[in-house]
Amino acid sequence: MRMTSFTDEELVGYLDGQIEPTRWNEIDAALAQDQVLAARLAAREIDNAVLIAAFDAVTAAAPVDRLRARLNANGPDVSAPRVQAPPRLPRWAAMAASLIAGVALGYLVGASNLLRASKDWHVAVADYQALYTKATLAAIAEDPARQRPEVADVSEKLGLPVALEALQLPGLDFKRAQLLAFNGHPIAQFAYLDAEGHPIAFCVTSTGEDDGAMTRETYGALRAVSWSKNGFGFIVIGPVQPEVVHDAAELLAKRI
Amino acid sequence: MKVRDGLDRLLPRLWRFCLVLSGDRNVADDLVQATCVRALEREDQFEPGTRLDRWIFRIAQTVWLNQLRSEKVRRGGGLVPVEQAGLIDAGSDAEANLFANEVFSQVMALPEAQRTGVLLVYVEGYSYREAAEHLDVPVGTVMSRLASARDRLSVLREGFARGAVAGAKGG
Repeated sequence: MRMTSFTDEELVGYLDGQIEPTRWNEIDAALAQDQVLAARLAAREIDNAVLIAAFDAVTAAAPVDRLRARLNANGPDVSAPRVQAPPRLPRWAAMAASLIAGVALGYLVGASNLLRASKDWHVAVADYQALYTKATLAAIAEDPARQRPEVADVSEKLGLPVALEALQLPGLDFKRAQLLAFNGHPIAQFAYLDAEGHPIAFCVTSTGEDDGAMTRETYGALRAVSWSKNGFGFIVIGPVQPEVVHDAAELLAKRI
Repeated sequence: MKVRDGLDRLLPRLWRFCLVLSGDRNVADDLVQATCVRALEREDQFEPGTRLDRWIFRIAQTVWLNQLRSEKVRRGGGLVPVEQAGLIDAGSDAEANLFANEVFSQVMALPEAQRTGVLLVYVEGYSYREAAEHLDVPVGTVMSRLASARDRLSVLREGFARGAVAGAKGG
């Protein structure tokens, strides 16, 4: 039977794994015999990881401070009834009051940004990690011959020596190291799967911050433990019990 | 969970989504702002346990459509490329960043409906069905937009083959 009667939409659905399994299998079988079909498919292949990396770089360019200032300027009571207009003041008094309010608002926004600064890269990591599924890393083999240079490369760009051995954790399979970036600063991401296939990441970036004790954090379904040492920030994060990320963090903190 | 706290964390991705929708950085800023106001007004309509990011994105989409309908936004047929120069920081790996910029430019040069589909499905991880619900179109329409987008993005094939974006390596 000739199998060339697949539409472009079906081919794209095949590439994305989002068509009926029977149809997917039909295309898969036809590809082995039909070079024209194979060429049509090849012409439509894109690399999702590349797209995601390019768009992550755009996220890093978002004018977050400005957006946050505007969000905060909405005040905590946007949905509350409008307050009564204040009693009318002489013009000079109103100007002085608004000046003071402006300075106070600037100070508050500035202060809250300072407080959040160290958290921002945690949030970026959490947002990225939230996109990982059990399938994201499943197909990657734990091959030291590939992992060792990968870790060495990431470690060098990060500026912190990390040995492959130091990354081995009980109960977790180390999958890969890759370099991400946040606001132009490199973030090393070391990715693991636990026995149930949950994706867990250990991320490191240079922050210049003082040493900080381990802190537990929650981002939606993700549990995280973060700490700082020698000007580097560390975080272990995944959709797992808090103890899992905590135990991993304890070991990693001792070794790195 | 507090919508405000979630919104704060989502700002970079919300801005990116608004940039893809509008194709213009300044319009994206305003769209983020309008989306935040609307989301905070409707905070009590958010169902805990569902995904806040998708709820917010849906609001952004609605706000955008309303703006188009009320002709507050002049739109050049969705074909005006965003002034994306310099949007991706030229860091240590110049080639990778050049290609990342090229990828982003090519996606932004797609018609609005196609580039929004690409962002939702390939970057934000929506299924076809979820994207169709978000865009309020049939699944077949999503598939057809993605097929057209992939055709146009074939100019990037050589770069894709080299895996030329830092951060995508090893994937």
